[in-house]
Amino acid sequence: MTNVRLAISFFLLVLLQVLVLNNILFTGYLNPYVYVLFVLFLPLNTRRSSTLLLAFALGACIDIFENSGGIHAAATVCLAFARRAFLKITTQKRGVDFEGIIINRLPLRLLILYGFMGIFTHHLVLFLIESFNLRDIGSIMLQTLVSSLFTTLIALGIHFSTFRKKD
Amino acid sequence: MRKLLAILYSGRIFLLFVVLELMAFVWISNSRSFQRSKVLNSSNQISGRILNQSNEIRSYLHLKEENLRLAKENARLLQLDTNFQLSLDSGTVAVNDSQFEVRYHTLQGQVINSSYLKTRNFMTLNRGVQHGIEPGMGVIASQGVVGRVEHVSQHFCTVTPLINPSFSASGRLKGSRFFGPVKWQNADYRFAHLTDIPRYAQLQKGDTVVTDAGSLLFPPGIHIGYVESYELQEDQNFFEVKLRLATDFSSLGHVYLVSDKMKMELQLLDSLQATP
Repeated sequence: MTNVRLAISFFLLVLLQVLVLNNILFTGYLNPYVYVLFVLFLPLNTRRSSTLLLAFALGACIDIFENSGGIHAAATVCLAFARRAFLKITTQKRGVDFEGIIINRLPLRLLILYGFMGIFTHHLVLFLIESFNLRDIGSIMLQTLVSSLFTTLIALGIHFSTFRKKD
Repeated sequence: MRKLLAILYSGRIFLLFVVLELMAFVWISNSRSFQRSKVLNSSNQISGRILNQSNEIRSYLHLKEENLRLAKENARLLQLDTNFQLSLDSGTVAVNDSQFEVRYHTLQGQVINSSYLKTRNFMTLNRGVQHGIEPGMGVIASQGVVGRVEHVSQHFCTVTPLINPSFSASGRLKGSRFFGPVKWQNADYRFAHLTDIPRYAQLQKGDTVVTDAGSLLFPPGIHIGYVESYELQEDQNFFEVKLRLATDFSSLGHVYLVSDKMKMELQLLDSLQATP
């Protein structure tokens, strides 16, 4: 049952990203990439190798639709790899306590913190690979910050309307 | 071995992460020419710099040949410049240079000895056989007719000038067809006489007398002198014209020796006419 929900959310997020959000480009800086929600909210008991492979598949899907050739895959795999570290930093839990965390049930403050850290990392990697140039690092940081805030806002909206209700 | 496997197993997630990232980057560099060119650029930077340096050194070694080549090129381009060419357009008619053939050759010479106050005057020039001088060549100066080459040695030649009784030239009134022999008569080196001008010819003081085309010595149109005075000859049918000579024989320096390339041809033709 969980796997079916995961698969549905995978495709829904890809479609939402490709069909709706990719057509939005606010003032050249706001590129909300909400599909990372899938990686962020993957259950912690998912095997780590599966997490990485799923993240690669998700990014690859976005790349195929956007014709951006691998940058989303790279950034999403990065996020999937760093996800556990962010979660540890946010929750300050170790061992069995950490493994028992259900991300959906985290306090909102910690959830926002964790989400923003992940989204910011993902966007930073994404935009860095996209421009492939450290000279305009300033404008890349600004774009990352603004886009991350915007993505977090949308993600929160989606979270409240779907995942949170279910519990 | 088991330890190595254990290490690999413990780092399997990181290895998977690295492999996935590598796949993504291969995809990126294959799909984006910009990123690919960036990667290629940075890898070519070192070899490119080395090649550039060696090329600079090589260009220094070939500097001399290059200069020579550029100089030749400059000369070729200068020849194309219209300022370096003589226009063949006379202004009204197009002149085709193949329609003309050079008939007279001129050679510059210097008077090294001359007389002008004697009854038989002579001149010596510093040109001889070595310079291609032959007896019978005409001598002119910038002002007008001088004389005729008489004897030629290896380096010098003597000239019978106009102011010598044995010299005779064919003179023509400029602007008309009247012509006659010009002779000097033991009088003054400044004057000579033109005879056999018909009495119906319209003469004026100051008219110019030039060499005739019938002369085998000089090109036509060379000044001989200017009409000073004229009077009817004894037979009452012709004028005898006193000419002020164009050439100042008292102060001759540079002269030109004229050779007629077609002299032999003309003489041969004339002799054919005379013999039968």
